[in-house]
Amino acid sequence: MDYPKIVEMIPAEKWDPLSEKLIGVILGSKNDEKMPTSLANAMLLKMKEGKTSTKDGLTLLLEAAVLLDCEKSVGALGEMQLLKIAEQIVGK
Amino acid sequence: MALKFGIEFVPKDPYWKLAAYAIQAEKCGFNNLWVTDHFGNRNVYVTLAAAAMYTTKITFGTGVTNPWMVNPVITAQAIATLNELAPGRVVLGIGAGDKTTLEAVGVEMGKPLAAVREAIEIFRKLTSGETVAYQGEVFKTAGAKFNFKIKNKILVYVGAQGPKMLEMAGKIGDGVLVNASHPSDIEYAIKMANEGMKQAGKAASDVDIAAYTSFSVNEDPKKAVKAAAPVVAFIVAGSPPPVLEKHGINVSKADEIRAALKVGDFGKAIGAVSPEMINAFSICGTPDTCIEKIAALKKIGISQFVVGSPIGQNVKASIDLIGSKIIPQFKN
Repeated sequence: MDYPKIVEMIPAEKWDPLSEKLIGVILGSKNDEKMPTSLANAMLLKMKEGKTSTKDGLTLLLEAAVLLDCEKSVGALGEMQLLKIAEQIVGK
Repeated sequence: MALKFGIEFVPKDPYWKLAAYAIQAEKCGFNNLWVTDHFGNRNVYVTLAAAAMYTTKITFGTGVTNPWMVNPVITAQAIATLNELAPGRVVLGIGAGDKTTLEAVGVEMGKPLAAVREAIEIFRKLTSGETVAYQGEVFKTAGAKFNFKIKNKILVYVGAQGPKMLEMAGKIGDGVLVNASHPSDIEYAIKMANEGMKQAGKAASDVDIAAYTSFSVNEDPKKAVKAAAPVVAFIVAGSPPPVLEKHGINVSKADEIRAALKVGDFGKAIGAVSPEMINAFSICGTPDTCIEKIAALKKIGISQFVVGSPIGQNVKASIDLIGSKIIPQFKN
């Protein structure tokens, strides 16, 4: 999936609240073993730098959230009225 | 003086989750991060190293390690190496250890007071750059020395619950981690620690007294209680009758919980947790309730409040709640 392109389709004013929701999905997931170390480290660096709601940061969060819990990620997108993005994620 | 806030994490989660929570806790205004040390979970020092790499201000340490599982020279080595990753942000937290955990790996807890005291002496000598020839009751070294220098003093916190350990903690510790949540228990702990501080000629401000509590916050008080109940069930099961009676808890109820936990019937154990037990062994409720209870502990004399397990039903949301509603109330 081309996550950077998907993020570009999300209105910038939704990046900040969406990043918080996705962090919630990632930390609340029970599928820890699905998280690749390289992705985890890149995500932590963005969190440390306070750049999770930038294009790069949100791309990482979206990728991690979908990997760990696709259903809840789609739910988070739905809550943000990003239904077309959600449909892309689930491949409709 | 502003009350410091600490937070405890148990490394049952992978390093990246704890590091993420550490970043969040730092941003929410927490001063200290404590990571528990039980062999069944991830390694405390590796977890702390990850937290060190992704934070910049928060002070962190073992919460707590023990003198038995690894030799104190290795504990000193690990803490000193962490201090290179995050200079001046590392502390050692050490206590007698958990009997059940240690027994599971065949380690005997002989002479806990001497073991903790000697481990701290060895730690301080090694991290001060000394060559340590030590002849203690429990530990002996014959010329141990680090091949590297530690640039700053590393503070030592002593985890304590019993009167003698509390007294010793006040006497030799830079901080005391009081494993309790109820005001009467904390008041007693401070009294005992003060005895030790007096013996050492210390002022109250010389020692950081931390209430290491079982904590659960939620805007919905029922949800806060629901999250606290499993942790409180284990605390009740591990408490001797005099402690239970002191808090007006029916000993036979505690026996029921202990028996249920022993056979793995967690539903029954948690269902038997009463409001009295929650009140005695946790700080639990809405942000306003928690603020009131923390303020009472501050009045008694704590200088650090540690938010311990479970923190809340949802850890991330609870940290945000503490950072936005509770910590600001104690900053001035």
